Amino acid sequence: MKTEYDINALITKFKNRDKIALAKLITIVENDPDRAHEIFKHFEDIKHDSYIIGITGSPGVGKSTLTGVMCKKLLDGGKTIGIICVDPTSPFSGGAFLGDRVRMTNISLHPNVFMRSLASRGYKGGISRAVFDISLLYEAYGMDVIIIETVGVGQSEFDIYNLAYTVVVILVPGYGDAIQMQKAGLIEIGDIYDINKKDLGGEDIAVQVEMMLDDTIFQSGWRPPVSMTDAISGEGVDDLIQNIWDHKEHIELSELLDEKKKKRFSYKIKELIYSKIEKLISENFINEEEINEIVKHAVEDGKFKIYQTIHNKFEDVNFEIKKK
Amino acid sequence: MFDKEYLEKVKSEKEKWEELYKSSRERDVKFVTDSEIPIKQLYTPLDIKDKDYLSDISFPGLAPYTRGVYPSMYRGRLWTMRLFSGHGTPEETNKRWKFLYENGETGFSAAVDALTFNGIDPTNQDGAPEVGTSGVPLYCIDSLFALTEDIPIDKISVALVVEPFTSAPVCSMYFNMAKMRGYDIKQLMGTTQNDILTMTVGYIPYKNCPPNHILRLACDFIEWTVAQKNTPLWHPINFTGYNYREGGIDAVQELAFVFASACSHIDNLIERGWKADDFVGRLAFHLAAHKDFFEEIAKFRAARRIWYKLMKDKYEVKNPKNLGFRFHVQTAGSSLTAQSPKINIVRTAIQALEANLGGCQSLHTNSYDEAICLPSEEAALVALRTQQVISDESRIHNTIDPLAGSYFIEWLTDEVEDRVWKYIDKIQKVGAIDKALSSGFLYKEMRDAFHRRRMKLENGDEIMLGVNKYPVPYDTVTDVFRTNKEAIGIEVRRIEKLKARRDNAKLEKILDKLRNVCEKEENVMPVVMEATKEGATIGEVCNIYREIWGTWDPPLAI
Amino acid sequence: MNDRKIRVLMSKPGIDGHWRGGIVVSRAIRDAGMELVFGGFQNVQQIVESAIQEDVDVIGLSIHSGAHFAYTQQVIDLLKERGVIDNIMILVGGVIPAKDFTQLKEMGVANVYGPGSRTSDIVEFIRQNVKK
Repeated sequence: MKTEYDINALITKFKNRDKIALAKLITIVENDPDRAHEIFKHFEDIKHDSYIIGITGSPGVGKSTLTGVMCKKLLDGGKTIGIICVDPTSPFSGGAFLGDRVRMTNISLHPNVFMRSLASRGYKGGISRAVFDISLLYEAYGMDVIIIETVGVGQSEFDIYNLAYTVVVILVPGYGDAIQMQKAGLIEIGDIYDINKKDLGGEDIAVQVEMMLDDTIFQSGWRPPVSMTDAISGEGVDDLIQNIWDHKEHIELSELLDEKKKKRFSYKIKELIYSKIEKLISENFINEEEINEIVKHAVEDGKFKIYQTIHNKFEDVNFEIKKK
Repeated sequence: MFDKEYLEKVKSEKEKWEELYKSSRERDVKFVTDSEIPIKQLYTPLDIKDKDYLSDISFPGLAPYTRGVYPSMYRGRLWTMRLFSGHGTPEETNKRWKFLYENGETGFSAAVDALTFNGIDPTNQDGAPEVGTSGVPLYCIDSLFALTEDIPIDKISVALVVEPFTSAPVCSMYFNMAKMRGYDIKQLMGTTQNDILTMTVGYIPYKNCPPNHILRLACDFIEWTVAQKNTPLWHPINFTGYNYREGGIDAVQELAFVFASACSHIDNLIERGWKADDFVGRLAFHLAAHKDFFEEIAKFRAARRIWYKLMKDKYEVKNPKNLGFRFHVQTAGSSLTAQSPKINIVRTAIQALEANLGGCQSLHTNSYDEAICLPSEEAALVALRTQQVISDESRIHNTIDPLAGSYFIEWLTDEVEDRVWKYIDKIQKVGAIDKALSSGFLYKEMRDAFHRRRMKLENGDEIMLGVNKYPVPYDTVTDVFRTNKEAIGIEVRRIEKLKARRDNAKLEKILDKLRNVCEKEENVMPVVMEATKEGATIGEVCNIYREIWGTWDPPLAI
Repeated sequence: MNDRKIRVLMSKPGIDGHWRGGIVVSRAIRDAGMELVFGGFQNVQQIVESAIQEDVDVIGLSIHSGAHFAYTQQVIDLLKERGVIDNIMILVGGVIPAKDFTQLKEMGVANVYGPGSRTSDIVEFIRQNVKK
């Protein structure tokens, strides 16, 4: 497989806006995150002014179709767009069916759009580990807008809140009522709510969302608006896009945008640190084999022991950081 | 049908026999039908003891039509031998039609190409390589003239196999052509497939419109042709269970899909202010004859009874002529193999026999090369001769419905009927047929059925000779029929010539009118009739649908 | 850490609606632990652009319309023009007469799968032959 790349050659091509090079760099950061620094050292002077929009909602609500329609309008308006669509990796086979592109065929040849489908590869939080890095690459490529579409499984979709400046939660009539939404925590992460497939009777759910928003306190002074769309006819999509720009304006004026950018970096910094620690520990202190050993002795002499074993293992050591 | 005392005697004798059976050998296979109905070792009077001959079975041509829709059935008139046929260009298809006609075919059926199915002109590069490769291209009125040249369309019926998305443009081209030739379209006989499920769950549609609009287009056509009596002898719709059966569903699901769909169309027309009696008599059906011999025969018999009950009880149909279930049958393409293709002749013959024993009105037999390519002339002739062996040599038609009264057939007919009613309920709980589509329900059912069948083939519960038993290499011997490579050029030029000739300003006005009609959701037929008469192409009409109603991608059930 | 997965694009070139074969193979590829990008209906330009942006190792073309030579040739020509042909393996499946296999392979297709093919064979072929 294509594991060996000449990063410098790719960077040169990338700077000439070569989509093949962009695609290959994405492959590298996705497969080999340890090499990300080799890439990003070439991009230290990039501006982080792409506007990042997150799209989330349960499977089947029409996220991809709606993203496609929105992008079409943004492209018509002269924007450049980078899209990242994440689908789940099967925990059993490790494989994934990435089916978002099929809903965006009509924009796929536009010169100002680039789209990449990603599998979550075991990463929790509704996205994949590579999403942040790819968003950086899109920024370096000069995209005006970055759209991140999450896996869409409800409860675990919170990472998008750390990465995107505006989070759009998409709902459809007949899919879970207000209580379901509250359980899913969706009411807390949305900057904007959109009821798609309005032809199936979106009025009821719109009222429910509004009622829930009535009961919520918004410290930022932004009350999420609720739009209704029909992705197939394109009805309502202009309103949705307007809501996004209104939210952008709000967070720019209230200086929330800088905070969100910081949050985005802090999210990645922590992720980098924790994955380094994980690696250090697994390479130097306790590896998969030892874990299996503990599992083997989890119950011994009729006694359940894993808490004690782990406690002892860590109690007896002092970590000391030494540089090589 | 038997007195109690006698039945008791049968019962006790049967118990004795069962002891004998237990002491003998039974092969280690599952004795179930194709749709998983468990089958007993033997059927006896006990299995049909509650049946009443007069009310449940009765006579041919009389309610509940179990034994056939006409009093004399094949003693009066044989079924129509109608081979689904089309390739290359309208001219080449015309030649093939005449060849089959000269060899005894008694009805025509146009297999159209993927562009015609999807309302795409050959000038659209996305589909251009497919011009004529899987059927005949019918993109404008000139194509219809070429297709039917020297064919007596006033005497022989023509089936136009196009679906709701393109039924108005293609059929209006046909009707306009017939008028220009001097025929009275009120006398024209024929069928339009016009089946919403074919181009949604049967095949995946390419840039068609959402299901609610497709359903309306189908009903527009029924309304204009039959209810409004513009072409009162035409069958405006042919609910084509065959096409989704081929996707893996079983006999029970096939009928249930068909009836659930038919109900949604009838409901739509009733909402428009028509009475069922105004149009249901011309609704037609197209079913599969699949691998399970008796189950298929039972399915055909059950279908007639279910339809009768639906019409009588649910729609309160008054005219007895409107209670009969008339259907075309196609032998099962998915049962054919590309390995040892000649075996396909045997498979097709057996399936054709099912259709005849089940009382079909019209029959297509597959050509043995259809797992590999479109039929060659030689293969198509073998397919036609297969029907003629049955009609002219077998003498199976000496009496009507010869299998009636068989303990097994009557029991199985009841069993299939019961299961179909339950499955119709299951679909109708989701809603009308357009909702069953847009919600993804039917896609899920199709997917599950397909994978069940696949598993059966993998674990040997279903046999395909040459594939999973006695496997042989993929055949390289049989000649491959190739469609005309020049078809793209020919069809593009045909349209160019038409465009040079027509009054474009006049057509533009008509197309604007069509936009208006689409926006208001009125019946499109009158305006589409005007448009194709003035030379509108199939793409020009369908692009207006797309412009006004948007395009639709079906839910992806993997 | 290297988390490499084989990536496969499955496309239906043109407008023919026989999707089932392509979907069945797609499932098998996913279940074999690979990442399957489903393209659905795509024209030749869209197939090549998707293959590039998704940086796939394999393109699967599912063709049941009889137009397999035309579409396959167009895809190969465009991959060459874009300079990416060397990194991508092309497989073709569908209703393809056995007589046509040789010509498709001469055009540059790695393998062809006709009716009755086993998905396990396809998966195994990809595993063994993805271009290094």
